[in-house]
Amino acid sequence: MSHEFLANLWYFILALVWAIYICQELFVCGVGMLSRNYDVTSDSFKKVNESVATFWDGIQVWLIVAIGGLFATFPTAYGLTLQAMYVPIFLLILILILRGTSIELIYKSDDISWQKALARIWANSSLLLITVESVYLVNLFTGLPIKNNLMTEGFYVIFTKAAILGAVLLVTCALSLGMCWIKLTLGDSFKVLSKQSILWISGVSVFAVSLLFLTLTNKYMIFETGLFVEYPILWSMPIAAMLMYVIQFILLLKEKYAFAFAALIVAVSLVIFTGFSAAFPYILGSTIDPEEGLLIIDAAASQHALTLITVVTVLFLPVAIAYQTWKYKTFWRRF
Amino acid sequence: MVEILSRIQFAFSIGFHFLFVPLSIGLIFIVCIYEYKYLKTNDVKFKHLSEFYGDLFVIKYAFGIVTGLTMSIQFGTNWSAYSIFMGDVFGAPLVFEAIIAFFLESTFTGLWIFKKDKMSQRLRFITVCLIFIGTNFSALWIITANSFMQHPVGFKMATDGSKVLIDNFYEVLTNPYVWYILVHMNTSAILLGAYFALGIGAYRYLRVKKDSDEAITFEKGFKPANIVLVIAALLLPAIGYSYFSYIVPIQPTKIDAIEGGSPLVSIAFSLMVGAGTYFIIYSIFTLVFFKKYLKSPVMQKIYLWTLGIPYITILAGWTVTEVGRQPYVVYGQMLTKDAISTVPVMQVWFSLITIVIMYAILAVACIYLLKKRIDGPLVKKEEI
Repeated sequence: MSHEFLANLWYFILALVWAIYICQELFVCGVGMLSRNYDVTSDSFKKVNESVATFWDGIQVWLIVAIGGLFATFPTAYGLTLQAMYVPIFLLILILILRGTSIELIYKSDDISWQKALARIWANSSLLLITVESVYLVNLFTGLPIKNNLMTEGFYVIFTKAAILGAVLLVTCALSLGMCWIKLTLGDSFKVLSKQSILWISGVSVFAVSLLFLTLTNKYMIFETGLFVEYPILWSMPIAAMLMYVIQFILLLKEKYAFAFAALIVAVSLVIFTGFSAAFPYILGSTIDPEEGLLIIDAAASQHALTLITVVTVLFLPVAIAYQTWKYKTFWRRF
Repeated sequence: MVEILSRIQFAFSIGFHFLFVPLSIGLIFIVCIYEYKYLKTNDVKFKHLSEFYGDLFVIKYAFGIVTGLTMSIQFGTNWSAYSIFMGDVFGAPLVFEAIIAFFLESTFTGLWIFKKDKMSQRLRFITVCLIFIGTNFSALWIITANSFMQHPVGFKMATDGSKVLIDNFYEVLTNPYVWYILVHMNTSAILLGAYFALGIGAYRYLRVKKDSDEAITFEKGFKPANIVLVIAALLLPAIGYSYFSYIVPIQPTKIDAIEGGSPLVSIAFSLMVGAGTYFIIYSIFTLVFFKKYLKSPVMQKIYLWTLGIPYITILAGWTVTEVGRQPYVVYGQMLTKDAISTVPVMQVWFSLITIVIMYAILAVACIYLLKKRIDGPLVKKEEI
């Protein structure tokens, strides 16, 4: 396999890893946000917590694979992106620390004030986590004000209109997915949100995705270069994504939670793939001048390194996926 | 300034992370032993022991995993020049660690925490063993990456000299440095786990009536832990000595540092050797006079009071390894001062201060939770 092929392959494998991670993280964080509806001392809260905490740490590793994978396969992109996004990355880490400790340790002390404090931290950090991750991803799609490999402006420029729309989209998706997850694991009769509330939330997703794509088209014109010009068939991805958002709304209206869950996962994955495909061939784009962007091929590790990582991944990742699937299948309803 | 702050931040965050790692490896090994005894003898006392130490493992583990996240991004945020220059070799072991080790550890730890009551004895044993295997794989890969920094092999320079490339990964992995450190490190971790089990066990044992269920439970637990401790303590100097003779020719500056060139390194080295001797003597003593040991509160309390010693010893060992490597980030190839990121110094202040504050909170929370669990009832009320 040629070096360029391997580099492009790994770019899309990392996009896939992000999609796998985000889809799972969304329902975990959604459940975290929804946990505010229950009293921490109640049996319902315990069950809601357990329904995601059992799976949380396995899911977290997908994020580490996304970051570590970027390091191993695109060392230059890893160095430059993390250096450019220094502050947001550390914010993300602090939030991850708060979420990770709270989700797992709420019931490790029987002190009520400890439990209440941790429950609040869990819900708030879940919201912040999705927000910061959406902002990070949307900025990867649109690029940063980068010249000579360095940020030319303060870190706050990442909070663009597109980034905020991305955050609204993923936070609402998280709530819908979280609700579906609770219904699926704890039974349809388990009370979560009123039907009216969930329809509002799910409806906002439908608008947010359209506005996000509009902004990406009009302001950043990310679909006017690269893959989308070369292969117009790719337009089917954003269109299918918008369609799936309408479908998830209908499914939630009809209270078909399993199908709504599946539709949302497809929808979110399509949005992520659309973004990564539009950013191609840049792994870290520049909003100042496209020429200043970092190309996938220039950031890639050597052919030797990429081949090695490919072989190890092909051998071991399926094993990890197999036992994670086994765990979901065996334990998701065992309370 | 960026260099100094980044060094402080890295040393602080890895040191803090490392407070959790070896005890996790050691404790889960002890849990494996009790879980095995439970499987073989069907004696619930071993189940109680395994769950008591398992709970402590879980608390440690949660803090270990979140502080480990900081490590995964710091190479990029603070040491981007290093990442770009060395990433072709250094990145691969890190992603292998995630794929091969972290998935295994975290998937089964989550299962152990929440579903152990819904599993058969066999599945319980398999679960803790898989966690133990995962922690060892994790150590293998991170030590592979670290060993490349200590004794770089299997690489070549890019033709334009801009970065280092993988030449032969087999050499990177079979670097003798990897295997010396791995065995030395994991044996130390198991020693720490056994020591911890004896120390914390003594704390509880001395507070209950001698004929109570709980006292009998801990009596059953002490023997295996003491045996593990003796074996680990005896192995360590042998491994340490062969490792030392190995690095004499390959890291001459480190040997100079140990022999007095750097006071910090030579003190750390003497501390490690002294503590190692003490472990052998005392662990054999309590095992030989085991009956006397069970009756003597003082002999038991020594394990509790000196719980800090194995900890300090492990940290001392790493101080020798890492400070002894300076001024290089990759021995003989790249200087630490050339490895830093180009970032505004204010941002590094921001991350350093927030990390210190956050970790202080984590430390308090961790001690609080460990104390709660250690003081709490041995067997939690059966849930209906």
